Amino acid sequence: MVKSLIVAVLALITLGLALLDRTNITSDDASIVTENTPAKIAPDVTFARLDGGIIPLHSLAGKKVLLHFWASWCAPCREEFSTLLTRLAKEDDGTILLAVSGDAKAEDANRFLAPYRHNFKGLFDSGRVIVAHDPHHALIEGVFETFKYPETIIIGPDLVMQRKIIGVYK
Amino acid sequence: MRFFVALLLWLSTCFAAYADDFSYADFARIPIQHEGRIKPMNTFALVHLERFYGKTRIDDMSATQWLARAMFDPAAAMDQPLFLLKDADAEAMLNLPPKSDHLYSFAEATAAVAANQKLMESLLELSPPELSAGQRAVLDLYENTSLFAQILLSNTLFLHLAIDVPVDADAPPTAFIDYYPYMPELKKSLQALVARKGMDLDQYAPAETELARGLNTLTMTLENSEDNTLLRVIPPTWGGDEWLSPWAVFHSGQGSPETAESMALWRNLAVAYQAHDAVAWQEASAALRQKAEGFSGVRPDALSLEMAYYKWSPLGKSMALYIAGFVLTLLCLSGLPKVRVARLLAVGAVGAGVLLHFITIASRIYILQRPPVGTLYESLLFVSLIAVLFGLFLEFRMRNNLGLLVATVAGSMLLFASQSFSGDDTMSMLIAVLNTNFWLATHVLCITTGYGFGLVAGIIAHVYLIMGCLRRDPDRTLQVLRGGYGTALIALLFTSLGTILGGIWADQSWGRFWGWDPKENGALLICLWLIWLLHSRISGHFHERGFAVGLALLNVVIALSWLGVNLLSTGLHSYGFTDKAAWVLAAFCAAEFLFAGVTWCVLWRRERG
Repeated sequence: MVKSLIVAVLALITLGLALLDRTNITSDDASIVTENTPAKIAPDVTFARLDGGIIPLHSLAGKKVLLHFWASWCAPCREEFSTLLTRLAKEDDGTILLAVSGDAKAEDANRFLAPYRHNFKGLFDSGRVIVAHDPHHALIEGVFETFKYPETIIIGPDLVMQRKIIGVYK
Repeated sequence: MRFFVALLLWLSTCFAAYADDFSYADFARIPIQHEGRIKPMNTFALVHLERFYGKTRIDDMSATQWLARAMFDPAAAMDQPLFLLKDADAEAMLNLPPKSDHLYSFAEATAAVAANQKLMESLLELSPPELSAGQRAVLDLYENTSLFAQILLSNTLFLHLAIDVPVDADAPPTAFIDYYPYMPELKKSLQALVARKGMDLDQYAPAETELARGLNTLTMTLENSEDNTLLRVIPPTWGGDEWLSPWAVFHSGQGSPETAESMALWRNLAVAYQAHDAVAWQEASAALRQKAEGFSGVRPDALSLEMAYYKWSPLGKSMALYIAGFVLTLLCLSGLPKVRVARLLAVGAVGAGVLLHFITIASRIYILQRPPVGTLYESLLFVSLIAVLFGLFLEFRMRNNLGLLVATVAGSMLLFASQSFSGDDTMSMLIAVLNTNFWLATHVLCITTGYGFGLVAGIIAHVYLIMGCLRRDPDRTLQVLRGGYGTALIALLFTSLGTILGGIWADQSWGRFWGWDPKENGALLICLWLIWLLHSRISGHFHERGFAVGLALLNVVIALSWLGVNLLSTGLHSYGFTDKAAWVLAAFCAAEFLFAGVTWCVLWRRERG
C-alpha cells in the first residue's frame, strides 16, 4: 500500500507541474501576442478639402502624415496649431499635416486659419499643410471615432497608424 | 444622490420602448472584460443578476434577456422589482415599505437611497467590522444600485432619444452620438434664445421649448456617462490591456477605425432591440459575436466552455451522485440482501460523481488558465476531489466499503459546504500576490492536498470510533485505524511541505518568511496536531482510543484553520473573508466535540469493564 501511495503522490506532483507548465502565462508572452497582431493600416478614406477638391488619405503614402482633428471653438487647438506648424517648419523631412476641421461652417474654420495662413505662408504654399473639412463628422467620428479635440494620429510612410496623441501635441 | 433622482426622471422620459421574442444565443456569447478576465456576456449577466436578485432567472427571463433589456430598454428595466433586501433593519433605515418578497425596483431603491443621503455618508465612513448586518445591507443596496445604473446607461450613446431638435445633418439624428457634433451650435442657439426671451418656458414657442428640452436631455446624457466603464466590450487600439466601454471610448479619446467598427455593431444591436426587429437583432448579434471572437486575447472555445459550465452545473449533479453513493454505501454496510448490487451501484455513482467533479475543476482550469485553488470556494472543490479520489483508492485496495464511505461522506459534505460560497464565485482573477501560477501550483496545491488527506484521516477515525462503539469485529476495526494512521502520515507530508513553501512565497511577496498571520498559524496548527498525535502513538502515550479521538478532532483543527480564519478580517491572507459560515462552523465544531466525547466515554467505560 505504501508503494501505491508513493506512486500516487508522485503522479500528483507530476500533474501539478504539468498544470503549471500549461497554465503559466507571463507578461512576455502577452507582448509577443501584441507584436504578432496585424499592423493598423489607416483606412482608405477621402477627405473634402476646405478650399475645394478632395484628398484621398492613401495618396499620401510614402510620407509621414500628422492626421490632426480640430475645431475653431476648441481653445487648446489654437495654441496647438501654432506649435504644430512651427514644428513642421523646423523638421525638413517632408512630413505632411492633414488638419481636419469639425466645424459646422467652413467660414468658422477659415476664420480660425487666417492668421496661420499669413504667418506660415511658405508651409501652406508648399503643400505640406492640407486643411480638410468634415462638417457632419462622417469621417471624424464615423471612421476615426474622434469625439473631442484636439487629437492627432501619426501615420507612417507605409500608411500604418503608429500612435495617437489625445489632447495637445507636445 | 440628486444624481439618482435626476437619473430616474431622465431615464423614464428619454428612451423608446421594447418587446421580446428574440434569440439570445449569440448575444450571450459576446465577450466582455470583467473582473480582470474575458468572459461571455452570459456570465456577466448571471453574476449581476445573482448579486442583485439572488437567483439566475427573473420573471421568466434568463439572465441574458434581463441584461439585454436593462441595456437597451432602461426605462422599462428600472421599474422591475430586482433588488433583494431581506434585512428588516435596512428596510427601516431606508423607510422602504416592507414587502413579502423583499424585492424593490431600481426606481424605489434609488429614491430611498437619495432620500437618506446623510445616512449613506455616515455609513461610508465606517470600516467593515464596525457595520451591523442592517448597515451592511444598506451599503450593499447602494453599491448594487450604482452598478445597475452603469448597466442602464451603458448604451445611451446609441439609444433612440425621445427628442426632436432639427439640425443641419445629412440624415435625421436619433441618438446622442448623432446629435453630439451639433451640440455647440445648439448651445449657441439656446443662449441666443435665453438672451431674447429669458428663462421662462411659457414664453417659448413649441420648437423653442423642444430645443431647450432636447439640449437638456443631451447634456444630461453626457454628464451621466462620464464614469460609465462597466461594459468593457471594446479592446484598446492604442496599447494597454484594459478593454473599454462605448462611453469610455467616447470620453478617453481611445477611438480608432477598429473601435468605430465595434461601436457601429453595438449601435445596430441597440437599434434592432428598440425596433423589436428579431431578424435584425439576430444578424446584429451574430455579426458582433463573430467580430468580437476575433479580438486578441479572446478564446472562443473557453467562452463556449464557460457557457456550458453554467448551463449544465456539473457540480450540483456530482454532489447528488455522492449523496446517492452514500445511501447505497450504507445499504452495503447494513448487511441487507442484494449488497453486491448496492455496492456496484455505489461505485458507479461515486465514479460518475468524481468524473463530473473532475470535469468541473478541469473546466475552471481551462477557463481561468490557472491552478484551481485561488479562492475559498475553489479550495473546497479541490479538497473534496482529493478526498473522494483517495477514498476510491482505499476502496480499490481494501474492498471493505470503508473507501466508499470516506469518499461519499467527504464529497457530499464538502460540496454541500461549498454551496455557501458559490454565490460569491464569479471565477474572477486573483489579486496580484496570488496570481502567480508557480506558487498556486506548489504551495496552495500542497496545502489543500494536505487538507484533503487530513479530512479523510478524520473520517476514518470517525468510522473506527463508531465501529468500536457498535462492537464490530476488532481486527477489522483495527485495520481501519491503521488506514487512518497511514493517511495521517500523508497529510503531515503535504501540510508540512505546503507550509514551508508558503513561507518561501511569503518571503518573496511580503519580505518575511513567517508573520504569525492567522492563516499561517492555522497551517502550523495542523502540522503540530498531526505531529503530536503521531508521536504520541509511536511513543505509546496514546492507545487506539486516544489516537482515534485525536484524529477525529483533526477535522475541527482543519475546519478552523482553513475556513475559520476567513471569518477574521485581519492578516495578509485577507482575500477570502466571509461571515456567512460562522454559525455553521460553530455547530460543526460542537457536533464533533460531542461525538468525540461520547465515543471516548463509551469506549473508556467498555475498557474498564
